[in-house]
Amino acid sequence: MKRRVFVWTLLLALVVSAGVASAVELVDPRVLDLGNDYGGVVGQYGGTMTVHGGASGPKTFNPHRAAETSSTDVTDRIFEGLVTLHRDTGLVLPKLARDYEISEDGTEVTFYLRRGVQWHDGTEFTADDVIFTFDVVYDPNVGSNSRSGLLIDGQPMKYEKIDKYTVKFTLPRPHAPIMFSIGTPIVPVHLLGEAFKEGRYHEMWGLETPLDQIVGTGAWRVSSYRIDQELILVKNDNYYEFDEAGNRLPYLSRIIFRYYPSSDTATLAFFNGEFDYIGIPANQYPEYVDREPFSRWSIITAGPNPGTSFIVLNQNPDAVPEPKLSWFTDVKFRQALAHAVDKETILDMAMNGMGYIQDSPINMRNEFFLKKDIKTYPYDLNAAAEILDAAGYKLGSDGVRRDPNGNPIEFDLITNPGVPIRQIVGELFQEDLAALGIKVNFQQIDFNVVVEKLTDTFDWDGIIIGLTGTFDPNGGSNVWLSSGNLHMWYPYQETPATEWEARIDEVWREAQRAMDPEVRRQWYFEFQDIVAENVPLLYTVTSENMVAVRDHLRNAQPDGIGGSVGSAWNFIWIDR
Amino acid sequence: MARTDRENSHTEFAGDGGALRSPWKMAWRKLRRHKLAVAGMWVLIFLHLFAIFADFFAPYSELTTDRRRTYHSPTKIHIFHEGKLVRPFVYGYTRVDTLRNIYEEDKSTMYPIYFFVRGDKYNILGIESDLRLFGVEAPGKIYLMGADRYGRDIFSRLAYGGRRSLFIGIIGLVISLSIGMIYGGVSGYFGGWVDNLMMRISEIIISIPGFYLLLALSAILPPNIPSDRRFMLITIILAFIGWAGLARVIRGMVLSISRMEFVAGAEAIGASQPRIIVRHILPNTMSYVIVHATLSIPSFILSESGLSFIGVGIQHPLASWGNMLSEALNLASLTRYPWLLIPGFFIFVTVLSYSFFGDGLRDALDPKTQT
Repeated sequence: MKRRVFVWTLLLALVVSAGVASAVELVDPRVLDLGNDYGGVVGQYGGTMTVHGGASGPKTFNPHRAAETSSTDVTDRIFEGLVTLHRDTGLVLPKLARDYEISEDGTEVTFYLRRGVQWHDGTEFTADDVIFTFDVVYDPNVGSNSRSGLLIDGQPMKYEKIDKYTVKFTLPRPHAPIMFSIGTPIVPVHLLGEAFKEGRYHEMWGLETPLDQIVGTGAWRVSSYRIDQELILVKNDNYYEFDEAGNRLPYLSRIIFRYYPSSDTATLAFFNGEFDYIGIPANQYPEYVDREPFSRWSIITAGPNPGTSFIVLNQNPDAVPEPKLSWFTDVKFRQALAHAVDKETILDMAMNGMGYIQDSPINMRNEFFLKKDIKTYPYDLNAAAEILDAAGYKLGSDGVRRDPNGNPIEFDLITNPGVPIRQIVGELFQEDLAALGIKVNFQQIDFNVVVEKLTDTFDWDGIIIGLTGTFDPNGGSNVWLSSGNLHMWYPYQETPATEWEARIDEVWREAQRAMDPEVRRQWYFEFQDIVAENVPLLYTVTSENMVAVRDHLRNAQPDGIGGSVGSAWNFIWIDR
Repeated sequence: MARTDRENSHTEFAGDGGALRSPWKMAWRKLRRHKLAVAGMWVLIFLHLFAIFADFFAPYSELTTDRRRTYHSPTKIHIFHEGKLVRPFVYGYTRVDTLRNIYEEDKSTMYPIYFFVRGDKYNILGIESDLRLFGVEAPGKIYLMGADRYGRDIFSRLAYGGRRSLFIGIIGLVISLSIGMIYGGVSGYFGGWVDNLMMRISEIIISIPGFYLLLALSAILPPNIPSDRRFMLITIILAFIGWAGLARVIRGMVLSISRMEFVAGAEAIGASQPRIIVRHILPNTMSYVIVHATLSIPSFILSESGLSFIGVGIQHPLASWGNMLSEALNLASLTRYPWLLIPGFFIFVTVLSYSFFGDGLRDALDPKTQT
């Protein structure tokens, strides 16, 4: 009797342990060939890396509520998508999926999920989580940032679970850029499903949630957060990525984010040895260059910043009164003004010459889509005056330029304070236009007011502002489609107001349909020509991306798609 | 005794006493002994003249930019060339390091400094002129205190900026004094529920956090108003939150003065109430008011500087000391272009001078201090 009990207990124990083991056994690890694919070397374990997190920390840990980079910088470490982009080439790579298949006609995408991937709490990641995530993303009440990128002509995709490790998406029509937005962060159904059903998803995982309840699949989990001061990530010991030598990633044990409100303070903190690497603001570059020879860190230059800065003139007929509307909608007027932007001086004053003159709306890093021979508008006040004269905007003997109806040309130009380049652009532009006889009232007003005018009340003449760039051109959909919410000069159009806007809409949709990159590229080339001819945005300059990295940090190269070191965290290591 | 003194000073002030020494003369004598006050006074006179005649003293207009001379260092003035004593001159400069904006003298080009030269045109009090105190011939440039980011001459901008930064205090003060004196006078003279109500209102105004109110008000000013009107509006905003403290003190003084015999006398001969307040009571508060005025001008100057410093006061490209100082608000400027801090020094000197002068004035005007 006793013996029997013992045997049963033993058996039971075996079954239980086998059951647990089979639930967590990683079948499809993701192996990174650091040497060949990432220009890196196999590393050693351990250590803490400290980085500058920006001016403020995350506002939420819920990846589908996170809207601003201060939050996504953290949630992107905890949560991952089905696919990711190669950090240098921008090619789509499987991440939580082990593989994917696109059907011949481009309307079906099937994902085969990695088997045995664990959530941080030990539960297995399955197709149910993927289905749940897309339920969440497509729910307008959640307000996920990924939603608009996953709609095709306003329609959601269909998605179904084929089996525990297979999910199939059906698109209403072929849509090449879908692979760039489908990698939205996957969230666990076993923890959030209940709340979603009750309509409370948007309340979940805010800052008040105990940190051990924030569960993702990523290489990192949050261990402590003092709001807007310091956030600590610790490594996930069961992560599914390995290096080519079979070591489980990541190498580092901890990553600390420190937040400083001003970039000057952050720079001084870096000089004091507080950070392991830091992005260098272009206007502080001389400080770094002068210290580099005596310091144990090096400056890495990493190509143009994907962001843009530009002047935009309001062409919204519902908000701009005559005669301003006629000026701003006159392509000759905009072309003339584009000639009055002194890009070289802006580069010199705002960035110490460390940057690039920008002519095209395409991310300058995306060489494949960037058209080199488009029409440009070099700084030339004489050319500007000639175009204005020819278009009937004549300079009077009193030094005031008037439109063909005799109205003196004068308009307001606003921007937010605190961004040196915008102030410089504004002051130079004001001075140059004064030389052309055009009066510009340049003023810096609170950022929230600027945004409100831009997105809500539309009562502005000219704004100097910027956009963060995405690697794939389609990321600019909300800017370039005439119905877009960031089609700043005339947003939410029901039908395109001008022929060239109508043509951009067409070209854009053709580019989305084209599955062949070469064909896509031709469409985007035409798009760039239309924009260059019609100058809805007067582009200025973009800075050189520069990073100062401590010498003991290995594999910490800025990436090719955005110049960010963050995409290398999983395989950065500290050489002691 | 204090009571008699006060009455004496009243009669003399009213101008009908045949005293040997008027109180103003006595005050002036007392003030002159106060060395710091006199020094402060001369500094202030000099600064205000510098600002009023900015067009004459400044070699360039405040808007003259030079895009190739970003952060030009102060030009050195030489009197020896190749070992010989010559008329003061500056060398031409070339930018040898575009990254760090380092300029070096180019000894092959010399630009002698001339006085009473023709420069940028200006218009002062309706007179058009282009006469400037000193200057060098183009393409030479003289930057006594260096240049800012846009290659504008800091020295010239200090002069033009002084017009706004210094006079914002005086204009603002005139407004806030007028309101404060009349308000305090009426409140103290009538007393009772009028006094009660008026003082409660002034307490509400005192309890408004001034700087935040200013921030809000200046943010709603429309962008297209001309800069001079914008300047006036900011001054008026400053004045309208600055009068309440003064009104309370005046009210207290009026309360005691209005019980004196000469007020009763004025009432007896049938003088009207406004006349009694303005002609008989308020002049007796004058010594306090003058001191208060001198000591509160600095707060106006500092408020303007503060507002302009954070970008909501006087707007670029027009100069004010505050917005000039805001250019120095970063690491690079502090370490590489220290001349950008000079406007801060001017603010400091002005505020200090007003304090010294005000201190001296208080002692001089106080009838209790003996000559």
